[in-house]
Amino acid sequence: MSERIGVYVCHCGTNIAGTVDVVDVANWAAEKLKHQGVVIAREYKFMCSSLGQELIEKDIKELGLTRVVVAACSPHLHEKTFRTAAKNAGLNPYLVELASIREQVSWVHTDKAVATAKSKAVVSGAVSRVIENRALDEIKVPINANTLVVGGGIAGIQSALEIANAGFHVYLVEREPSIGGHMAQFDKTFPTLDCSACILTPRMVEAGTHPNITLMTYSEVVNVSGYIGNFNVTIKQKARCVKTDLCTGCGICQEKCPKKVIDNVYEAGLGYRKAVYTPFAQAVPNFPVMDVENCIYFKNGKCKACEKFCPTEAIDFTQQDELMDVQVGNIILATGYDLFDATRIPQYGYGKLPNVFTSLEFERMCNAAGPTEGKIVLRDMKTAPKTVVVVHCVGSRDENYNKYCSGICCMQSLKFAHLVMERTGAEVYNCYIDIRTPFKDYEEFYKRVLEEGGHFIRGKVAEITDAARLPEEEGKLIVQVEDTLIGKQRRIPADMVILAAGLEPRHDAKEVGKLFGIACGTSGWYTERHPKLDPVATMTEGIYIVGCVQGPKDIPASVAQGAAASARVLGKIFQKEVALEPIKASINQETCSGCRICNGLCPFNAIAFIADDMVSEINPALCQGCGTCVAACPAGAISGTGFSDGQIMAQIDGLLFRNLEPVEA
Amino acid sequence: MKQYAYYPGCSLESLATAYNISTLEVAHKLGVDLKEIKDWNCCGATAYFPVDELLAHTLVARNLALAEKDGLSDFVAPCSACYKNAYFTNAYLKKDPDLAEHINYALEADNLHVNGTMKIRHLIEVFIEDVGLEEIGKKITHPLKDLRVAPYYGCQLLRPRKDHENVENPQFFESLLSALGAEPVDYPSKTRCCGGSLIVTNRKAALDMVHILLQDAVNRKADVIATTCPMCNVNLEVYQSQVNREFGTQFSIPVMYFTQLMGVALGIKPGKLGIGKELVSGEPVLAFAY
Amino acid sequence: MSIELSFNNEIANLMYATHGNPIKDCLQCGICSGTCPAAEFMDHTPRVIIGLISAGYKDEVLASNTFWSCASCYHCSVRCPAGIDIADMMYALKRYSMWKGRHQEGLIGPAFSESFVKMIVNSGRSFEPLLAPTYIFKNGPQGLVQEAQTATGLMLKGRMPLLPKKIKGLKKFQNMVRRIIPIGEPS
Repeated sequence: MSERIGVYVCHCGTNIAGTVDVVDVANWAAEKLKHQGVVIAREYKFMCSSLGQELIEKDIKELGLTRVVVAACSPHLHEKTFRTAAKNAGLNPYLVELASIREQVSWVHTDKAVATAKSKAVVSGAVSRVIENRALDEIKVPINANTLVVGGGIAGIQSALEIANAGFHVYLVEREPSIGGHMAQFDKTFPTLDCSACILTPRMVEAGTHPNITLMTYSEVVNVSGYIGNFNVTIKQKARCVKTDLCTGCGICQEKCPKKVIDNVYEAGLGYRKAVYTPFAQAVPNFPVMDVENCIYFKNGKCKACEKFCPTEAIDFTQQDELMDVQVGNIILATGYDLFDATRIPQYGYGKLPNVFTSLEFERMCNAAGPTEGKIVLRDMKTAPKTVVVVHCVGSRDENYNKYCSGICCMQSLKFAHLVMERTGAEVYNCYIDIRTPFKDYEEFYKRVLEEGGHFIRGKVAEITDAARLPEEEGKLIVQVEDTLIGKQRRIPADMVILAAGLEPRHDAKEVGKLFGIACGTSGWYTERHPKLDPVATMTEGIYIVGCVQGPKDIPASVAQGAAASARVLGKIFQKEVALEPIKASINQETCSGCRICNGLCPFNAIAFIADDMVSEINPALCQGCGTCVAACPAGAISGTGFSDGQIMAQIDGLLFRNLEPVEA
Repeated sequence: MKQYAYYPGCSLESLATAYNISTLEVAHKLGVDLKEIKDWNCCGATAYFPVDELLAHTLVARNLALAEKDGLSDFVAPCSACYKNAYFTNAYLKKDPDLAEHINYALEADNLHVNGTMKIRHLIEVFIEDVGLEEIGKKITHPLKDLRVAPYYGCQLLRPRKDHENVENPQFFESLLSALGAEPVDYPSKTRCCGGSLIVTNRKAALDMVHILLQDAVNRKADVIATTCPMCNVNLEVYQSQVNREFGTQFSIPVMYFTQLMGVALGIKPGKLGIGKELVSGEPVLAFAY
Repeated sequence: MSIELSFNNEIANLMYATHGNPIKDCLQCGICSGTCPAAEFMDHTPRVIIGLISAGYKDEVLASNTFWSCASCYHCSVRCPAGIDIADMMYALKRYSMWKGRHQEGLIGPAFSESFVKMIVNSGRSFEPLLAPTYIFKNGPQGLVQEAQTATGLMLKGRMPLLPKKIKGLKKFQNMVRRIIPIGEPS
């Protein structure tokens, strides 16, 4: 008995109907595919709307449809919508096929005749295929209620606290010795000029002492396997060389350590730390770590001052890295950003001219606990500047470096201008292309800096040099820029220049992404599931991205994303189980010859070899339905449910119109 | 020994004869075989592009075609303007078949055809990359000890090519000078324009640019400015007196071609390097070597 | 029916080898004009010229001395964050100006380029003394004297060519030129 198929062609407003004659396609299907079982073919403006879905549900009930084809947008968007509609009407959701005539036809063609003909072929293929579809049931797997948060900056901390406060366990993994991230480096935060440490440290302490959070600092994720609800993660805890159960955080080891090292991480190269160190005073946890590359003992066997002076014998030079496996149901990536390397722009003199600073260096300078105790001074650590120039867009909005706008630097630069004027009374010039102050109280902050007497020159700085041409330029840094609002090239003699360097993805973001199975976009930031409507989810179920790792953003936005991801995770945890798509591969054990070619090919390690029976077996929970093994099996013993050979061959026949009844001569 | 197609350019036969003879002497000493392209024509410098683009490229292409005909692989130009023209015309010919067709149609009238297969080199590149600083170092007999040299790269040696490292702060010229035993000076204006043809078409602007270059060199206590282009050399040297008159300065800083400095260090007699042809005497430089 | 081309398109059409130039991508950031070593001698900075072109102010652009003061140092092009080859655009403006015969009064550039082109077509090589008349009288009596002094100095050092050179294959060379532009006398 043949199937009873309903075909629904969507206009998608003018998105499809503007290029494809949808009425013609529907009529064609009703007539030419009648012999295959098409009993009804409709076209409608917006199939995904509730009215559109009702059309399908009504037809299933009243016309006894056994198969449904919806010709509309990409399955990525609404496959779930139509499958749910079918389910509501009592039809197995996997007996619904989507034919993409938007992304694959109307969006890529301009010729109406060609587009319409192609749409007919696509619909024909879908109809032929759907006949071969079989009813399938989703696989339900339990969700592990634990969560892994990678990255202990403000976004990661937010996520961790939200989930922990809801009563569930979180593993918070942080690469550096302490949590806090970049926010711990700042002095004041815009636009409120809240002291960064004052608002951050309470959260850090809460995360560090929360009964539901296992804090793993100085640690990195080295392996991830599994799938949503059931991830197995291997974490490497780097050797601190400090026994944390004995350490009281008294700090004597740091004090006595004779080896000074330039701190390129926390102090942005502006200050020093010791070989054994805690990155800053409010570090959480407050256990120091030993930098074995710079430690005198590890270099030539001498010193050991820290061990001598430690009152609790907590120093342990023999400590090794440890690996630990954890099982979690969801993973949140919050690994943040790296600053653009300003030495890539030699004409700005960073690294060559001493009084050119990057934004992070200047943050450390402003910080009361920083290398200058909050005093704004030149590199000589004592002279206060009389003229300061803040350069916007360093390495951003530039085809030669990063094309994107880093979003936060305008506000950061205005903040710097304010702080300089407040603490030194110096003249400050902001050299900008545009002033980007879109969010709450941002524009008002700009106005404030204008009122305080900040000078603004609209022009992208051409070069910063010490080659003086006039007497008043001697001994100064000369910032050469066109003042575009008056059309003149100007040379501003300054004592100090601050470069508002752009934000970049972490330099190992690609590798880390691969570890978790998520992709980076063209600029290197991780790709979200939908840029407008789903910014914290990724294409991989169970992995979320929050904070700057998804793109440059300010603290409020990072916090909001952190909270959004935790809401998502908590939702999944409360559901207790997750339904996995039944599109999986399965091995016909009678045909399997036990050659094991498929075993090594599976990217998800889902195929195991049963030695007793000399056949391979696929774990449906791990299988992602990629089809690699199906194609590789030389015996043709593997088929994909939802992707059988029969379905694919039928679809090809349909696309080539081989399914049509022969025209009578 | 590898043969290079040598394209001297018009100025090396007149204003910059010193560059030509010092180049040939140094090349000979270092085993670089420069074979002058037969019957080459003017590359058009910066004066052709203001009139007709296609013709400008065609003039350059003729020289490339002549070099290709000789069966040589590398096209060497000592003048930065000739170099830049050759480099880009060659690059456009390679990637734009339309342009190549048009130009070859014209070249046909001269029984020539260009394929864009030459590798375009500036003279200084050949010495640094092909001979190598170590080899050059071995042949130095009169190191330019304590001679403070301002390495003036100029514009078209570096730009508009963006593909090489460090267009804004190159160091290869400094490396060469160090290999000669000299002391390269930190010269921030080293990639700043000398004015080029503006010395003719807008003298006021050019003299200002030259003034800045000379002042910076003097401020950095350079004994001599080394150049890699005849136009730069002429602007900095021949017009030094005019700069003095215009700005009330008293510059008297020698401006020498890098090949002349190389020649002195390699022990070649100054007369053979064209030293003595300057308007601002280059003799003081010799004191550092001999 | 002819289509009126915008000034922007006219200039883009004069840049054959670089396939036009994305002048419309200009952010007006000003780095070109901040970098340009000749900017203070131009009545409009390079950035302003791009703005004027985009706005269609053809007369203003042709009346300015900006592009005739460009030394083609390419520093602007290398630094432009929008990837515009500004120096190439300056050449295109020169070509437009020469083609339409419209430029600011008193400029040396147009006459110099014209003489240069003619000189090359006639001999294949450049010969400075032939070009001298285009500029030696333009810098006032003092300028003339200075030029004469400089020329004498060069002559004494054997650096001034006394006789023009011609390439051997001149006839064929001229045929080649004529296949691009029909100038010079037909042979």
